[in-house]
Amino acid sequence: MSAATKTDNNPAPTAIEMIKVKVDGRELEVPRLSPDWQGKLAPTTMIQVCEAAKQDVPHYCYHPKLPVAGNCRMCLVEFGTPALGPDRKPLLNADGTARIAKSPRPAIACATPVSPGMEIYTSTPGVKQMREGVLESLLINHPLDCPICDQAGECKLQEYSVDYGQSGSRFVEAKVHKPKSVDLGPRIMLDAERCILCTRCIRFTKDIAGDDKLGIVNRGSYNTISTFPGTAFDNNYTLNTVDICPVGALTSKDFRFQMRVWFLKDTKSICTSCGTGCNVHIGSREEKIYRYTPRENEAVNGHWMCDEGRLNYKWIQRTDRLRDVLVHGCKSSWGEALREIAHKLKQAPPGSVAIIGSARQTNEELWLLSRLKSRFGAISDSFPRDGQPDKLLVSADKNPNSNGARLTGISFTEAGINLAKIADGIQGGVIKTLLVFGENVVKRAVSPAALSEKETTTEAIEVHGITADVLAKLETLIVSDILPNETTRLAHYLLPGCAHAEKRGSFTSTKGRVQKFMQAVEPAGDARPEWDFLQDLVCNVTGKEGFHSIEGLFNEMAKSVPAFNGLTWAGLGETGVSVKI
Amino acid sequence: MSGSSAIIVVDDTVDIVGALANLSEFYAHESCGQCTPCREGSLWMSKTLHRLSHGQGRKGDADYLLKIADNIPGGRTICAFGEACSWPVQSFVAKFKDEFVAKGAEDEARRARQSAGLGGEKETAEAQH
Repeated sequence: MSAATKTDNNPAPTAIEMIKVKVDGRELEVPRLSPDWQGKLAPTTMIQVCEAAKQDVPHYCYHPKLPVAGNCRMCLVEFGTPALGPDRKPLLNADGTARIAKSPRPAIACATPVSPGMEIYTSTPGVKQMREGVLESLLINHPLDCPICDQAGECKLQEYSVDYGQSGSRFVEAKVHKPKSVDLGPRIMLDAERCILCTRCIRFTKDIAGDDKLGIVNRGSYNTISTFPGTAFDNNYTLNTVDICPVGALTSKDFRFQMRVWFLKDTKSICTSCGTGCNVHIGSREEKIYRYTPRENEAVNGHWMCDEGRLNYKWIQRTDRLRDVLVHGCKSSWGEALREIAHKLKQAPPGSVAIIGSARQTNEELWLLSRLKSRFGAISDSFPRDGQPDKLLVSADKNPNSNGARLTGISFTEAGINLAKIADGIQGGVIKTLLVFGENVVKRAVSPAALSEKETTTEAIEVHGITADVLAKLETLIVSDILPNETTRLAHYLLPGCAHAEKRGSFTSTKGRVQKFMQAVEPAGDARPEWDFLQDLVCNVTGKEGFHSIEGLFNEMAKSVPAFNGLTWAGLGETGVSVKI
Repeated sequence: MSGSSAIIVVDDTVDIVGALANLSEFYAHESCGQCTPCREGSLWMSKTLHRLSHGQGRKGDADYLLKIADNIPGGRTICAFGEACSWPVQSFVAKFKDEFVAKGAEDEARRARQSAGLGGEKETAEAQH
């Protein structure tokens, strides 16, 4: 085959044979092979065809990214295949169409491959009756405690009961009682009575997280999800089982009883706990964040995210957030402070300014800092933040935007190499003005136990020689941060910034995915997004009018940063664009 | 038919409701619980038959049982155990429907007498059994 002789890294995919099938009378062409849960090519299944035909097939145990179990029986459909005569040739109807031999038995759409000429029936009386039967079976032993269940509002049992169930129950026997409020692990609670035994959580834990902790104990209707006695369900991905649990059996200890899901506003955002850049939904209500849930992005995190990143949001709403613009410790206004800073910067002799950015800042903010840098011939850097990676999603780089800092010119191939130079410059009296954004520069490498909530557990800040004594030698120390720390207390000008959930912007992941995120909640107090006030500062310094929207700013940045050439804010879409890093 | 293609010969003194209750209890105990119709259906049928054979029956229980049993077989389950647990219920109720109906009717009538204050001590004791 000629395709096999191609030598580049991306050989043209071998053409997959297309076959014709009918879904509820509608003919469509589908590939004979489709990617399975691991992305490997496998025979296309009925449920994939029905999805392509936009024909809903209800299902509980099937999940596109988990191995097929086929145990819930909710996706049963009827089907037929072309009838063959004794000579193995297709039989034809009087009008010349292929005669279809309807299968006497139904098939589960999730596990049955399609064949050429197959007809799938998803809405016949027989199929409806089977769905009613399965739903009735699932509901007879269910506690029906929706009013106090966290899943209510996003529960497949509720949804399918309305769509496909019966209105009444004829069950008059006693329900099976199972353990409730079972503490499965540090983050997970199980209500075994709500469980419909789809085994999604078991398959996820075994095949995706690689930590075979969950299983089923007991037989028949007494089946119960359980851990091995004496062990805790405690890997770093346990909360994904709460997402994929179609009912309220597995609940997050962090989120349970906190908020009804229909009140939550979902905002498309990015997790900032490491460089992977998992796509998330921020669930918030009335300016309070209640949870992160993973947002599907095949190019980055698939359907999953780690527990550590998911629960790392509480610092955003700490009561000691920086709220006020402070000039030499006294409350001031943005206009006044930015004017004064611009004035000082303009008077600063070349080479006397240093900028310490943060790889937790957005691409746009770092680019604005780099414009200040080139204006003043400043020396700049950002802080490295390394941790333990894992095999699934967690990156060793604990900064969400190390590549952004590098591509915009704030840091270099190895982040942090200029920090000692900056320390020396301040010591030697050459550097007199220092801008610090989002980094507690005087902090030393500390034990994980002593880290604040904002800091993730495994990072270590390198010892670089910028101590409080060194900072005291500066003429002007401009600091922007979100939470108070040793450095913000030393600042001459303190500018309160925003967490990613309070602003818009974009990050560049460790793999070079440029992804944008949206604002979920309002900033605390007087705090403003860093890009917003940096824009004003750049404008004050250069005299050039800036952009008042993140769209314009991003598009301008994309023109000037080579790696981002050709990108537009709108073009990033919801799942981002990969760039060469 | 008694389920998995087995034949059990019993004489006409055997209580057919009790025999089916015994058979269904076996199936409910044996169901592995992997797939929904058999997991829930086998125990449901067993509970109903236990009730029916312990003086708590209803006239409509024969049809009720058939409807439960009809939701299990016919390729809806992963393995043939689902078919096996529903077949005896379907065939017993089909062949001896009058016995199931009579048993349920008898229980209903007795409960009605009791609630109307006509039930003797003996019958109350029987119902509690």
